[in-house]
Amino acid sequence: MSPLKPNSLTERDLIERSLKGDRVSQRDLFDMYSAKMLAVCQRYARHTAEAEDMFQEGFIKVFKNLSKYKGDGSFEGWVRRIMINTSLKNISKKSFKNESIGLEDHQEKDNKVSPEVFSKLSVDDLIKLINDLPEGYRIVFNMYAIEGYSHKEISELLKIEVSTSRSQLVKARRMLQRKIEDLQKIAV
Amino acid sequence: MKHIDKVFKDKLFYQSAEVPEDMWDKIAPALEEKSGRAIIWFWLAGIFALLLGGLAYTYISSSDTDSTIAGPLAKNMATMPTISNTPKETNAQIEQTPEPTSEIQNKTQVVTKENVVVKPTQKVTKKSSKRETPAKSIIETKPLKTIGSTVSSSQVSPELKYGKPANLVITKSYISDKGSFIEKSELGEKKGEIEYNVFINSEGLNAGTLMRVVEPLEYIPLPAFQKSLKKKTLTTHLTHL
Repeated sequence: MSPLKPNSLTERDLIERSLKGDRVSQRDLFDMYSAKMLAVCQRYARHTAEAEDMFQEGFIKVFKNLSKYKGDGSFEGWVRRIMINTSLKNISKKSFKNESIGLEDHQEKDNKVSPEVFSKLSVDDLIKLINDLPEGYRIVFNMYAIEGYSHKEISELLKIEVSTSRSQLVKARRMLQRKIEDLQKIAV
Repeated sequence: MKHIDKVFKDKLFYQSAEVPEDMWDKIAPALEEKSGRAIIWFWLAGIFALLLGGLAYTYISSSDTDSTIAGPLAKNMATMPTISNTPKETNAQIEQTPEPTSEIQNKTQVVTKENVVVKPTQKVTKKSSKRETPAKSIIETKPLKTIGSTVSSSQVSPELKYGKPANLVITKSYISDKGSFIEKSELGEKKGEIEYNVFINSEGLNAGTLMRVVEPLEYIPLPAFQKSLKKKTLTTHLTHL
């Protein structure tokens, strides 16, 4: 769902005007999505400076490729994909170790953490938890759990095996769970 | 989806971050750069188009100039000089006649070491009974479809196949058959050799005829400007266009 426009123009109007080089409309579009997109970049980046670089580069791509947006899906989704793709560009392939998934990986026990604990976790807590993950885990967890990419899509975008994607996700979940359990113990 | 995934998605998917104030200021110049490049390309394309137009205009103008030069010749077509070559050994004589029109004679004529008189409205009568065979001809005529621009003796452009009467710039001795005309204004000095133009009329009975000189001439009288040129050798070879 598109955020409310700063003026009476629709999102479509702003896109069309931006395509004609209208700087004000470009600024309006930027203002509509910048906060969300910076948050996306922050989840993929290792630190704030890197997130801002990704964000900047991503938005420049958005405006330079605006004519390629045909209105098939939501504009926000299109912008988000550009941001993610831009963020992924800087990810080293070494971050993903091609490990097969053992039996123990499937026996995840995410019921150790009570729902109350999850509900008490703030956004900042969650972001910190994600940012503490190893890069490969963080990227795959972000893409699969939060953005909704499939393992096949992840493997194509990151140029890794599907099994690697699965493995990284399982390990990311396990690590997050362990950390949340630790938080739970501290809280008790 | 695992419960842990859902917790993260619900809280983080629509999460926002505080955007630094100057972030847009860092992005906008990159967009300006794009516009700037577009403007530069626009101007470059415009300049290129102008250059092309200029070249085309120059080309067309030069074609028109050639036509203009050749134009008056068409008027003189009726009084084009008849050039004849009289072998020296036979003491050939040339008679002038008051006839206004040129007289077209053989398509193949003979020039050896001799005096050649070129005059408008000339009629040449060879008194010599001796005449060389065509096999020894030093001037040959070849039909041309059309002739259309300035040509140097060494460079004959295929473009001359099209257009109006031609203007041939010949830097060495040259003699032509019917339809040729030499203008005084075209005389000039170049490396000690007299340079003149011979215009070939392409509309007469001998239309499209171009002479090819293959033997040396000693004298080339050019009555059009009251001058007789002496040439020991004639090396100009005009080929059929």
